[in-house]
Parts: sequence; C-alpha cells; structure tokens
Amino acid sequence: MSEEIKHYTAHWHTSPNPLLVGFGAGLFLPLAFMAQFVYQMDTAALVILAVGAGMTIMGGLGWAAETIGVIDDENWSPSAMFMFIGTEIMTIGGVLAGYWVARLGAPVWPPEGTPENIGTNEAVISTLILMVSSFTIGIARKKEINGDASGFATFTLISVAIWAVFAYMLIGSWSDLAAQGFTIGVNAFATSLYGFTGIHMAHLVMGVLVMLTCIPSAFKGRLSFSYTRSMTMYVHFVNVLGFWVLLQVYFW
Amino acid sequence: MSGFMGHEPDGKPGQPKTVKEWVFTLDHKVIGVWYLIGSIASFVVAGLAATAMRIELGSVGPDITDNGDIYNLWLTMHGAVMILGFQIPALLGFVANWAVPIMVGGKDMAFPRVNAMSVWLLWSGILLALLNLVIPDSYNGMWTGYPPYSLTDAVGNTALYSSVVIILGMSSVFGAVNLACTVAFMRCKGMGWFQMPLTVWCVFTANVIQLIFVPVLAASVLLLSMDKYLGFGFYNPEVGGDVLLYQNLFWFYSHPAVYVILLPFMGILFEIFAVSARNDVFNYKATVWATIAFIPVSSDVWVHHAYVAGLPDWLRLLQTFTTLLISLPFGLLMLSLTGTMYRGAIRYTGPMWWAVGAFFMLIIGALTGIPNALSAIDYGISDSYVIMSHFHYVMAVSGGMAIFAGVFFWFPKLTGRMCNSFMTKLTAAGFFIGMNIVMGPLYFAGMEGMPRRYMDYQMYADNATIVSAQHWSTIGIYITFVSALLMIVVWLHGAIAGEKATSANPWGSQSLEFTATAIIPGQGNFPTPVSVPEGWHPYNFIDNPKPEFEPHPGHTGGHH
Repeated sequence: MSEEIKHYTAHWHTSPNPLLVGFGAGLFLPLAFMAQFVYQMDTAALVILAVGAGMTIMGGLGWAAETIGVIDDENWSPSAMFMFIGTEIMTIGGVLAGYWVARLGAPVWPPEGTPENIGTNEAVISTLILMVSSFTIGIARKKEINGDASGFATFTLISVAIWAVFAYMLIGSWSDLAAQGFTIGVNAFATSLYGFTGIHMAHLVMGVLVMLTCIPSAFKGRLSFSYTRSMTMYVHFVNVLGFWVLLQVYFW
Repeated sequence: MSGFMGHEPDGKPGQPKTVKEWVFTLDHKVIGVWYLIGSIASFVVAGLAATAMRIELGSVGPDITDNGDIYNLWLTMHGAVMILGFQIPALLGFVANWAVPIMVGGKDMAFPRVNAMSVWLLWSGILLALLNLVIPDSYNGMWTGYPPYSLTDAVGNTALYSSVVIILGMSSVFGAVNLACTVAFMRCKGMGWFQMPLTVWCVFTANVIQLIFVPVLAASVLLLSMDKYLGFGFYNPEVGGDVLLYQNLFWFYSHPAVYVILLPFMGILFEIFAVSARNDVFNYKATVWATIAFIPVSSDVWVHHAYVAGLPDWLRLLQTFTTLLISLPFGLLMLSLTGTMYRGAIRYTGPMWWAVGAFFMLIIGALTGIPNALSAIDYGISDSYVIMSHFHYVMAVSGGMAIFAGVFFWFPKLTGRMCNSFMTKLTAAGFFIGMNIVMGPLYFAGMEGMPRRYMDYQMYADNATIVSAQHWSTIGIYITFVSALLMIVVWLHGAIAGEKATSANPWGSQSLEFTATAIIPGQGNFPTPVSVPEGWHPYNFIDNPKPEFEPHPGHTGGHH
C-alpha cells in the first residue's frame, strides 16, 4: 500500500461524541422518564438518568472541545441557529394553540380554583432581571470580538448568574402557588402557567449549558465569531420567550 | 469527461475499513448508509406486521389470533414504523445524506457532527419503537395517538409513543437544518439554484416543510404525555382542555408529512426518468416552482382529516377548496414526469422498472384522492377501506417503490457492484403485482362499507364483495412478501457477490454523484473542489445526448 493510500484510509473523519449525545439524550433520557413516571421504578430511573445524562454531558463537552474555535464552519452556524429558533417558535406555537383554545373557550378566566395572587409582581421583577442578560451577553460578544477572552468569560458568567436568579425566583413562585393548592392539574390556567414557565425553564437550562461550554474555549483563545453569534442569538431568543410568557400567562 | 474540475479519481475512493470508521463516522455517505440500514430494518418490522394483519383478515373469524390487543399492536407497529421508521428516514435520511451533498458538489454536509447525532437519534427512536414488542404494556393506540383513548391505561405506554415521535422529530429537525444549510451554502462553484437536480429541490423543500411542521407534532405529543403522567389537562375537558385540539395539532404536521414523503420520492422518479429516457426534465423551472408551492399550500389542508368531527359547513367548504388546490402543484409534477418520458429513448433498466411501478401507483392514488377531498363524499367513506387504499397507493406503496428504485439506482455507487438486472426487474414486477392485488380490491370492500382497523368482519360475512376482496388481498400479500424478501436477497447478493461495476456512471447520468466521483466516492467526495461550467444542467440530455454514458455490460437493460 502506497503512502498516499495509507494517508487516505487514515483520513476518515470520526468522533464518538455525536453517538454519545444521540444515544444519551435520545435513548436513555426517555427510558429514565418511563422508568420513573410509567413504571414507578425510582432507583432504575435514577441509574438510567445518570447514564443518559453522563453520556450526553460527556459527548457535549467532547464535541465542544473538538469544534469550538477549531472547526471553521464558514459562518453557517448563525443561519442554522436562525432556523433552529424558527422550529422552536413553531413548537411553542403548538403549545400556545392549546392555551388559546382553553383561554378563548372558557366561560370565566381565570377559572375557578385560581388563587387571588398568582405572583404577577414577582414575575414582572424576575422578567425585568432576565432582560438585563441580553445586555450583558451583548457586551460579552463585543469583548470577544475585541479579543478580550477574560472580559468575554466574565460577562458570559454574569449572564449565567442573572439567569440563575431568574430561575430561583421562578421556582420560588412555583412553590408558593403549590403551597396554596394551585398544582399542575387544578384547572386549565394552572396547566398553562406551569406548562409555559416550565418550557421556558427548560430553555434556560439549555442556554446555561451553551454559555458555560464556551468558557474554557474562551480562555484557550479558541472562540469563533460564528459560535458566539449563535450563542447570543439563542440567549436573546430565550429572553424574548420569557417576556412573551409573562404577557401571555400573567397579563391576558 | 470535460468541463469539470477535480474529476481525478476521488483521492483513494472506497468505503471505511474499520469498525471505528463506521460507527464513529462523520462522513455523510456512511451516515446515509446507517439511515438506509435503519429504514430497511424498519421496513422489515412494519412489513411483517402488515403480513400478519393481512393473514388474519384472509377469512372471516380468527385465523392466527383472536386477541384484539395483539392485532392492535401489529396495526400500530405497521403504521408508525412504516412512516416514521422507514419512509421518512429513507428519504430525508438516506437520500438527503448520501446523495444531496454530492449532487450539489459539496464535500460533506454543513455540520457533520450534527449529522451524525441525527442518525443516532433516529436509531434511538427505532430501538425505543422496538421496545414496544417486548414490554408488558405495549402501546396500541395507532400512529395517530388520539386522546382520550391515549390518555387511558388501556392504550398502554403512551410515554413510549410520545418519546419515539419526539426523538424522531428531533432527528428530523436537526437533519433539516443541516440539509438546508448544505444546499444553501455548499453548492459547488457555478451551480445556481436553478441548476440543482430535482432530487435536491424536492428533498430541500420537504425539509423546509419538516422545519415548519415537525415541532408542532412534537408539541402535541409532548402535551399528551404531560397530561397523562404529570397531571396536566391540555386535552382533558374536565379541566377546560379540548380533545379535538390534539387532532388539529397532529394533522397540522401529519398531512404535510405526506408531502415530506411524496416530494423526495418524486425527486427520485425525476432522476431515474430523465436518465432512463435520455430526456430533459419537462418544464424544469415550472416544476421547481410547483415543488416550492407545496410549502404554503400544504399548510392549510389538515382539517380535511376531521371532516366528520362536527365542523361548521363553511370550514368544510374551505378545506375542500384548499385540499383541491394542492392538486395544482401536484398535477404539474405529474405532468413533468410524463413529459420527461414523452418521446424519450427509454431504457427499461432495473431501477426504471421500480420507478415506473411507483409512477403507476401514484396515478391511481392521486385520482382516487380527488373525490376524498370533497367533504360530501368523504362523509360516506371516512374511516373505510377506501381511505386506506387511497393513501397506500398515493404515499405508502408508491413511496416505497420509489425508495427501492433509488436504492437500485445508487447501488453501484454504494457498493461498487451491480445488482442482477433480471432479478431486479422480477422483484419490481412481483412487488407491483402483489401490492395491486393487496390494495386494489380493498377499494371495492371500502365502498361496501368495510371499516378500516377492524380485526374481523363477521358482520359482513354475507357480503361476497368484502369477503372476496379480503381473500384476494391476502393472496396479494404473499406475492408482495416473497418479492420484498427476494429484493433484499438481491441487494445482499449484489453487495457481496454482484458483478463489479466497471464504470463510475453505469446509468449514464449527468449528475455530479455519477460524473465527478470515483465508482465508490471516498471521504470528501472530490479530491479538489468541484465546479460546473457555465450553462451546465443536470438534465441536458438533448443537447448533449451521450456526455458521460458508459454502458455497463449486461446492466443497462432495454434499448435506445
């Protein structure tokens, strides 16, 4: 075999990380949900969840190490993120359709069983705090463009901290409502409130992971314009989603 | 070959050699093969379920089971796995991955890692779906998953159903984003939007439909599990929810899903028809615009699935109109396919046999779809065998045959070997005849009132039309089963012991996957960035009748 052939055959691009993420998130996480909620097998659910989450996180970190700032995607990532956000809007649109049907078809809104105080003031304050992260992540991106890795990392971490405050306030609000007997299935409004804020919370968690993932790469000086732009787009989207949830659930 | 840069044999072409290179691959062609294996495995599972159902229905009374739950399990596995595990992954997985990047002259997909993740998400979904065969509380609520039944304990494991749909949906969405970026940004130098092969256009449009509508399906089934397991009440009227909401959300995606399947398989037909007829695609630009028109038009037809659900008259009338409206772009595509063959020097190769069979099935299915669109007629045949036969002709069987045509068409590029031509044609004929015997008579049974999804028809035991149709239909499934089995044997034989392809372009195509690569393209597809000359077109057969045509002895079949 000639040297050229050896070089070629050794050149098939491979990576275990997509497989780890694919099976971790696609197979083990649904199995963990079923073990817990369908079969009530608490221990098994925990073990499967640990395996699935472990695979997903390991794969995700490996993926980030292989790609962020290493692979030149020729600036296609923001276009892909734009499309992905479009699909997110359609997903949330599907859930919103459910809310609108319930809301417009109800003779009285909010329906019977809804407490007087559903935490509107706290929701307004927490959403205003959330909005601040759009500014901080914008500053982070500017720092990155200017080659200031530590500035980028600092403002990205500030954004993460702001989201953590929001999440803390939201969980507190859920606890207060639950303490008043206003749990998920009490009425259509409860379903909508917990559903929408829960979906928003899931996006927050994903966004935090995306932001944290790029911190090590920043310090290695390996961040790409394309990646940080996509990340920023996602952060803005999650913030707009939070504002939309506030308007839909608390003020309509 | 002239006019192309980078035509030297593609580095050191061939397939990966090690397990690591196969399993951890980032190459779009290998990922395409994984999609193909997954989809064919799904076809086998769903086909066995169909065979079991058909045998059960061969005569009045129990034949192989008297257990309704088992029959419902077969029914569920057949529908869900055939659509979500076989057709969509074969078309938007295998064709989109294996063929599209090379057809546009790209070195790979835009995001190879995302691409690899998508295929493993698909396999996760397939494995989850197979779990349904072994768990004690198998899900039996059909692929539609309608509440309130799917919210009861009797339906089995609704979470499994939701998970499969969501995971396959995620795989589709990531795949669609990737494909759209690939087509938008990775076309080779010189290839404009209106120089892309129609397969690319059709797959691209189908992926745009996926991007818009799949998330709604994912949301609808997510709410289903939230209702059943977490105590939410989106579909529970007792707390202000609405059962019909699910039907609307479900069909908002699932009717466009018909075009997600239809468009790519018509793209395959365009490719094979043009190459086999040595003819330009008739009315190429109008065909492209018709393909694009499916995106807006398909978004407003879903309510025809709920004609009998108590809709106001104005809505039924509107939906009749919008449903008929989709006949326009569809009719244009059919006209183009017919025009492409008109006065062509048709060579009836093995892939062409499969493609012509698919085209015929498509015509029958399309023509029987028009009356279904009319709500007044639909009232009488809703949920009958007429509907079932219609969608099997227009989507399931025609789509399946087109997929197999595509596999035979690209087989030499996948394996470097040729399938036996005679056996390819024999299996095409057997499958075509078998499926017509399966589905044709059922139209008549449907018009006699035979409802779909029933495991028996004691109440129609005196109806000679229904009993005879069921009997013949079961005979048809035996012919189909043998043909499908033989087709798989032909593939395996071809891959292992088939005659080696001596040409990189055995069918005489003008598309880049045949003209600008080695017999089996390697990593990167092309040794240097490929470009196409000004005025190049993938179907320029009339001005340039024998550009790359290197007939492969014994395998071109037919004659000029």
